[in-house]
This record gives sequence, C-alpha cells and structure tokens, in this order.
Amino acid sequence: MTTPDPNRRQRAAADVEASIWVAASAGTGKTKVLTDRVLALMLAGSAPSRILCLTFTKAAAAEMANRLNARLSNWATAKDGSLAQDLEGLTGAMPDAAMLDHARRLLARVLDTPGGMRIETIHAFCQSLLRRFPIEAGVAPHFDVMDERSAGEALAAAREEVLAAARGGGTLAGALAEVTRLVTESGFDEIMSQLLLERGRLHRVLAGGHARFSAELGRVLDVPPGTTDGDVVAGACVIGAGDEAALRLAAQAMLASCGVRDQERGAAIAAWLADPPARVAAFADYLCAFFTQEGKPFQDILSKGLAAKEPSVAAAVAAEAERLAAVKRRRSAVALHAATAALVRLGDALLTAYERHKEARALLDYDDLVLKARDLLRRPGVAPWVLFKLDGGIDHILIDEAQDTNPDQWEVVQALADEFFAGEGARAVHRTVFAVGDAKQSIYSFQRADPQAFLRMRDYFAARVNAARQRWGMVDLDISFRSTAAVLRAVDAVFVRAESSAGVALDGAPIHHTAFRAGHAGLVELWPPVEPEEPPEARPWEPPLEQRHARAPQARLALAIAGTVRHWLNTGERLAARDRRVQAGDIMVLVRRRGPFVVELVRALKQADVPVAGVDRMLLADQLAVQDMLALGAFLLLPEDDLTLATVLKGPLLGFDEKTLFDLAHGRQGSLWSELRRRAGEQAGFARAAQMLGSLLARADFVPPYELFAEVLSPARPRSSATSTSAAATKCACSPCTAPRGCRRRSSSCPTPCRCRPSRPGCCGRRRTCRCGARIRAGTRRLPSARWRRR
Amino acid sequence: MRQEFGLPPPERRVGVAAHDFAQALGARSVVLTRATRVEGAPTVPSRWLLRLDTVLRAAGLEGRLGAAVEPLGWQARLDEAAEHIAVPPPEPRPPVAARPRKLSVTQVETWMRDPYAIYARVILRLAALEPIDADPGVAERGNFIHAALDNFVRAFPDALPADAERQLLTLGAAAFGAALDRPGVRAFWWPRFERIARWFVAFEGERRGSLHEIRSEIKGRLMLDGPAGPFELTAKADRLDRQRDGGLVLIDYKTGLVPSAKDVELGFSPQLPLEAAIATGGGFAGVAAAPVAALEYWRLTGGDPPGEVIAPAKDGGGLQALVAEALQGLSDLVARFDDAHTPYRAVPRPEKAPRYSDYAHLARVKEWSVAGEGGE
Repeated sequence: MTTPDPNRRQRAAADVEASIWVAASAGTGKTKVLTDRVLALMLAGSAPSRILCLTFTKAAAAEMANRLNARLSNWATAKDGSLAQDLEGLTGAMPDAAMLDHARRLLARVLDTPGGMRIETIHAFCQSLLRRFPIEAGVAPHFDVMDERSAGEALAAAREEVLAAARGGGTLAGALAEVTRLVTESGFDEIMSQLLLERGRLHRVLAGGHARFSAELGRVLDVPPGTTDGDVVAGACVIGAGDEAALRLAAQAMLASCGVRDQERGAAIAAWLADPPARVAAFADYLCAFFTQEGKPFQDILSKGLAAKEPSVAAAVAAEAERLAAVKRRRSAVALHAATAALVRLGDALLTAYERHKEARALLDYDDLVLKARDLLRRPGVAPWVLFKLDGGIDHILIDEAQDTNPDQWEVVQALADEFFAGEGARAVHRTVFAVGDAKQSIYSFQRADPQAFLRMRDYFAARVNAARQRWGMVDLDISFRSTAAVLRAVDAVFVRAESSAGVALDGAPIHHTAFRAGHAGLVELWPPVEPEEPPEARPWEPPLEQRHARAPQARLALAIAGTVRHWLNTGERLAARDRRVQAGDIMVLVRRRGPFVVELVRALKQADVPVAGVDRMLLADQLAVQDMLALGAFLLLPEDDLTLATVLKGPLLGFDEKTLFDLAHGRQGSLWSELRRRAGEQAGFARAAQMLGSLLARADFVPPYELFAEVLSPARPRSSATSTSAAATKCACSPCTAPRGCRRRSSSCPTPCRCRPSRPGCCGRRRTCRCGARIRAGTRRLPSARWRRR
Repeated sequence: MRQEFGLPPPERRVGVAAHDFAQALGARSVVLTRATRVEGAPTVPSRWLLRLDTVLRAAGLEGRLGAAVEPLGWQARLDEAAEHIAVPPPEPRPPVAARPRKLSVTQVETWMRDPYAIYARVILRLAALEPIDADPGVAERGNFIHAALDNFVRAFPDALPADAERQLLTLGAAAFGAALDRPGVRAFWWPRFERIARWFVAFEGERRGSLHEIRSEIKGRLMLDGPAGPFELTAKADRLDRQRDGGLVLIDYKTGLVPSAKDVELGFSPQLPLEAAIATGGGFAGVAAAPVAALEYWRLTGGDPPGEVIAPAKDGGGLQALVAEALQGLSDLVARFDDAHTPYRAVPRPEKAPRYSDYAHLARVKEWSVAGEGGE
C-alpha cells in the first residue's frame, strides 16, 4: 500500500492569491493548514496586522497563536539549510537569500505589531469592533460583556417582571393563562430561553406587530382569525357533517356483531348520532370509538370478522375515522395557533424587559456582540465609514471551524469580505477569504450553528470571487494523520448506511477517509451494549435487611473499561506504532457527553490505579468532598445545627464511626455541639473533634472562607495539640518520620515526581527515598506553598 | 503638556519598570512565571518571553532556562492522599431499648425504603433545619392545597353551598397567603389551584349524596405487639368518609406523584393500607370501627385532567388482602427490628430509595454506593 502524499493538497490550501474553501475531515491537519496559510501570507508580504483569523474558541485562538509563534521563533534561529527546506515545503519553491532573511525577521515583525496578530474568536472580534465604533453601533462606549451567569440572572429578573405585569390583566394576562395551562414553571423557563436564542427571528416576525403575526400564523396554519376549539368541535357535530345514514347502518351492524369491542364502539356511535343537541358534550366519548387514549387512530376499529363480512360498514367507519382525524388536526392547529401567539407575546415582553435591564446597566450578552456588530456593518450611511476604516486594516480573512459558524456570524464575515470583491474597493493587492471546516463535525446546533450555511457560503463566495475575476479554489482534505486505516474504515463503514450519512454528508458526497499512517496496526472492537439489570423481584413487605447496590449499566461499563486498561498496563500490551509498551497517556476515552458516566469512569480508573486526568467539568455542589466542606462551613455558621454537625463528624476530617456517633447523639440533653463539648473528656475522638471544631469556630470569625478551607485541607495545616492524638503520628513503622521535601536530583531529571506511598503496613506513608532512587531531603515540616498562599 | 503640569513623561514609567526588572533579573535565582490557563483557556506567552526564548535558543542556551517543575510538584503533593480509606455502607445496630416504639404510617414508608433515615431521625434525633427564606417549593404547594381542602371540608361537612367554588378559592387564597405575592406562584400555581378547585367542587358535589359523614385531617392509632413490647402506629388521614351503607372510604390527596399499585402492594407505599388497618380496628378518633370499602388517591395536579381518582386496590377482596398483608408486614418489620442484630441500612434497595432524603450525606451514600461493587 502506498502512502498518499497529503502535502500537495495542503500546499494548495496555502495558495496566497486565491480564496479557498477547505473541507477537512477529522485529523487531517486542519490547524496546520490554517497556520501554514497565515505563514505563507506573511512570507508573500502581507503585514501581520492585515490578517484576521477567526476561531471558534479562545482555546483554539491561543493554540494557533502559539503554533505560529513557535514556528516563527524556529525560523528566526534556524540554519539556512533547514529553514530553506521548511520554506520550500510551505510554498513549493526554493527560497532565495532575501526570502530567508525575510522569514527570519517575521517573528520580530509579528511581535512588534501593535496589539499582536489578530487571531481571535468572532465574539472577541465583534467586541473590539463595537469598542472602536460605539457611537455608530448605538451602544454605550463603556459597555461590559455579561457572562452566562449574569445573563441568566438578568433573564430571571425579567421573567419576574413580566409575570408581575401579567397580573395587571390585559393581553399579557390572557397569553400567560394560555401558556400556564400547558406548561409547568420549569417548562416555561426552558421554552423562554429557547425563544431567546432565536431573538433575531423573533424580532423579524414581530416587525409588523402582534396582530399581523397572529394573522400570518393563522394563514400558515389555515386557522381563520377568532376560531376557537369550540367552533371546530361544533362544526364537526352539526347534522350532516358526516355520512350519518351510512354510519347509522354501521352502528347497527356493530351492535349486532358478537365482538365485545364492536358492540361497545357501535353503542358509542349510535348514542352520539341519536342525540344531536348533546353531540358537542359527548364528543370526547365519541372519539374513543375511533382513537386510542393517546389519540392515535385504532389499527382496526372493527373486528376482523365483521370487517370481512361487511365491507360497506368498514368503509363507512373508515370514512368517519378519516373525517374525525381531520377534525383533530384542525383542533391541533387551533391550539397551536393560540399557544404560539401567546408564547410569542410573552417572549416579546420578556425580551423587552431583558433588553431594558441590559441597557440600563450598559451590558451586552454574547449574542448581542454578534448581532450589534452585524447591524453596525449593515447600517446604511454608517457601514461605508466603518468599512473604510477597517478596509485599511484587513486584507485576508481566515475562518476556523467554519461549520459551527451561525448565520448571524456569517453575516458579519460577509459584510467584511464583500468589500474585497467589490470592483471599486478592491485595491491592487490580492485580498482573500479562507474557510476551513467540516460539515460532518458540526456540533453547535444548540447555538444555532448551521452546517448548511457552510455550504451556502461556499457557493456565495465562489460566485463573488469569480465575478471579481479572482482565483477561487476548493480543497478536500481527507487524509487522516491521526487514525489508522482500521479505525477510518470502521468510520466509513458506519456512514455507508444512508440513515447515518444523511445527517452529516450534507452535500450527499460519500464519506471517505484515507489513512496517512498506512501499514500501522489498528483494531476496532464493538462491545455488546450493557443492559440494565432487572432488580430481583421483591416479596410484599420484605424487610429491608440486605444491602443491594445499584448496578447501573454505566457503572458496569466503566468497570469493564477500567479493567481493560488495567489489563493492558499490567500485561505490557505493545504499542506497535511506537514500538514500546502502552502507557496510560496513550489511551483516550471519548464520550458523547459529560454525564454521570464520566464520573463513574474516572472513579473506576482511579480505583484500578490508572493515572487519569480528572473530570474536567462538574457540578461542584454534587461532589461529596465539596459537600463535606460546605457542611463544615454550615456548622461553623450555626453550631446548633445537629444534623450538619453529625455529618461533619462522620466525614473524613474527623472520621466518627456509627458507634461513636450513637454514643454521642443518642439520649443527649441539648444540642449535639454542647454535648460534644461537655463530654470531650470521655473519649479521644470526642476530644479531638471538640478541639478541632472549637479552634475552627474561633478562626471562622477572622479568616476569609478561602483561607479557612485552605487551612482545613492543606496537609501543612498548623498542627497544634491535635497532632499528639493523630493516629498517624503515634505509631509509624518507618521512624524517624520526616516529610519528604522533594528529591535531591533536579526535579526535571527525576522521571516520577516524589510521591511517597505506604511501603508497609502501619507506615504513615512518608518515605525517605524517592522512586527514582534519590534520597529525599529532610526539612521543615511545612510546605512553602501554604505559606505563600496565606500572603 | 504633562511636563508643564509637572508630571513625569509616560516613558519614565516604562523605563523605571525596565530598570527594576533588569535589577531583579540579576538575582542569583530568578523565577519567571506566567499563567498557562486563564478561565480555562490556554494563554499566549508575552511577546517579551517569546523574544527571550528565541534569543536564548539563538545563543545556544536552549533548555538552560529550566521549567520550574518543583513548585508544581509541591502543588500536586497538596492533592495527594496518603491512603485511601474505603467507607463501607453504614449498618448501625443500636440496642433494642433505643429503637422506636412509635412511628407514623409515613415513617413506616421511610423505614421500608431507607431504614437509616429512621435511625438518624428518631434514634439519633437529627433533623434537617428549614432553610431561611427559601422559595416555596413543591412541598409547600402540596401543603397549601391540603390546607385549603381541609378547611373547606371542615367548613362544609354536609351539603355544599351554592357558591362552593368561590368559597374554596377564598380558603385557597388564605392558605397560599403571602406566597401569592411571588409572581411565579401567582402565575403558575394559582391557575392550577383554580382548576383543582373547580374539579374538586364538581366531584365532591356528586359524591356528597352517598356520604353519611366526612372527617378531614383525622388522627388515628393502632397498637401492635412486638417481641420487645407494644408498638404504636399513628396516622393522620387526609380524609375519612363514611358512606350511607356504613363502609369507610380513605382518601389521600396527592399533588405530586401517585404511588404505583405495585409499590402499595410491596409495602413501599403503605400509607393507605395501614390507615385502613387503623380504621378497621376503630383507631380513628370518633370513627367507629367499620369495614373499609375503598382506598383512593385523589391526584390533584390542575393539569389535564385537573383531578383524578386512583384506587390502588381493584376490588373489595383485593382490598381486604392488601390491608391484611400490610398489617402482617408491619408486624414482621417490628419483630425484625426488635432484634439487636438487625442493622438500619441506608437505601438497601436503590431502586426504591426515597426521591429525596435529608440523610444521604450523613450516610455517605455517594462514597460507597458505587465503590462497593468493584472491590470484591
């Protein structure tokens, strides 16, 4: 198998005179293509300040800047030969001496560029635009950007305001009554935040006012103004609305059938037909003859026998079912119309209150940055001035992760780049647009990212560039540097199926990845799904004596993964590509979301003693360790809180067992805290707890929370008399017990940090030699970091 | 202009800073630090550091400016645990004398689902404190609605007045009290209460004809014999109605979830069957012993439908069996826990754990619930 050469295509993407759209599959060197192009542009003479590189996250921006800087720093010091080789790889041409000189000076040029290179997120770019043109954009010059938390708080305040306003009656109260009938309080909040995400569209549909919107909505749903549910039902119940003669015959036939269902339904139909004035009231019962409780049409309204014997009955019943289904659809449309109009009215009020809240405090949220920058760039009379000022600034726009750019953000890019290809604005220099993305990897649909827009914008810019008679190129990168052929084949195989590829291959092209790492071994295993275990069937009133554990499938899968990893590490599984044993750092576990499974997995890996990066995002208050600290804090604020004190006593700081807690708590006179202090002399555990909590109570009034918790948690906690009672210090087999101070070898040359583990039972865990064999310095007991922290 | 004002030129500050820096850099050992992450995102080193790095490399001194691993090692040591202590699930076995001799029917439910909670609450007398100025939650909404219905039934024990719905709404407003000033309560709960009131008045109006007597929020008790002495079961029933034919109907208002018939049968939601046992024995104050004709949950949500009657027992025979089984089950439970070896375990059946417990932290459930499984 020959190794495909990815460099040719990557070089095509660095063609500095063309605007280029790159579709890059995962692992194909997207960031490299981007940095290469920036370098090539600078080599070709573009000033660093005239290149605008928009990334999706701050992390990506920093990553790119660091890569560029590292590369430039390399160039500045590289020998002629290796620099020439690097430049040739980049541009495809052998550089001359002047070019080498130019390349070496680039680092200084970039570093001397005021404000640095413009590699930033689109939000950061919009923010700087608004800072520069606040008057033109109609924002307060001193505006602040709200984080998501304060945006959420502002929204909650706005919600209270709207709900309070709805008490005054009027259209808002009506809308609220309509909505509260349908959703609960938490559901309402969810819908409102969804609606707010779409605020741009909300403004657009409400441009003509609520009446206009309601009428328009009615037109779309085919609901004439003022139609109510009652109207629809009444219309369905008038005599002659259905083929009543045929239905009467059908009902008779059903009543005569020997099937119980037939008789029931026949009776319902006959009863409804017989009493026209009561039809509206009985309509719900009537529907039960045709539809399930969930409102779905019955598979067979008639028994098989009857349907076969009397086709005319079947036809009449089917026709009526059809008619009623249409009635139901109309009722749904009416309900949808009313609910939507009400929701939009509330949403509008909420949005107005939210905007007012922000305006009064000169705040903008993240969406505002993009929307206001877009409006600024599109404002007639103002936009040309802004663009003129910017025009002197930007020659090349590069967009990373373009598939996750949402339509509003694209409009900002569009407004900037349109100038490039407008006949008059275009200056002698080549100005280009470059986007790299992968519609398959669009993951931010919840932020309204639209992978279709990636394709739409490609076509849009292709047309603009061609019209301006400039060069346009499209590059497909599908040679993966990351994965082996086996992995890529598995991925491709998944997307051969139409139903899997439908969601990701938007232009219908087959999904195909090629491995650069040809010949490297790879293996894909599919594990069977882990199914929930059925809890054992309980007997009535079985006493709760046996401790069972929830063997959630997630926990079992986590154990299986941890076990597999442990096995690899234990047995010295070979990593063929590197020709060495697998290390923990070679292994990556990908999950679909940061859910409870991740917590289980980390826990399982830690238990298997596999070094693992912890959970990177968590709900702090869900963590037991954090809860322990909060409980301690709650106790220090209110010592009479018995349950909280008991929780602290049982926690790891004091480690009471059930017996000790029972001795203290059962049959006590006053509060648990007074009992603990009164009986401190009885047991060492009581004494230690009373002493430690007492001293913390005394400190709590004087030190800020951070310092207090740091002291509690730090191993360098100033030990007072408590030390003498601590279990570790009293009896240690490895005396003299000295805390390790780091090993004598230079830390960088020691392969493992100086972690001391218990070497034998009864050891306090402090060894005098490091794992690398170097002696450990004995020193003072207190770690300096704790002293620094206290300032 | 700055000079005319007697202010130093701006360059001075830069120059002084550079001077200070140069001086400090002459020290024997210098630590240059920077944050590698800010708010979770990696950072870009300053231009000056980049330059310094490049110059050092050009001068062949690459790597001589060592990365300071040592402080990071110290920091890592702070987070290092000397030993891991596995915490087993709690199984306190207090002496029999300390164990409760009196529990309510709702406490029996807790006993079945989470015995440790009974241990902590009753034996250790540890109770959670109410948070200060908390927003009214689901529990409060249930209390408001219960109070309104209780007052309504007490006010009109016989025939309903013509304006029953208005009367109930007035009582409801009184029960909700100041909570109605909160926009969220007014907007979401009150309309639901209005719908509950409409349903309740209509349904109650139909029922009244067949009823002889109605008691609301009525207390009852029943004595059982345990190995270690008598055991008292107490209850407060939401409603106890006597029908014209003498049969009793026990009703429980539910503003949240209604227990499944299965859980009622298995003893995990024993409230109604145990109340029926009390009623059968004449344990409700002022209500003569009589057979129980029906057990009913009235599910009051104010949604669609606003109210609904759910009976855990399908028929009379099933009901009698359910009540007998509950009484027997409770006797067994008392007998088992009159043995000093029986532990009060925390959530022994995780799938039947109470939805919310004040004692999960005290029992340190999170610490052992998963960890216990992998070890052995």
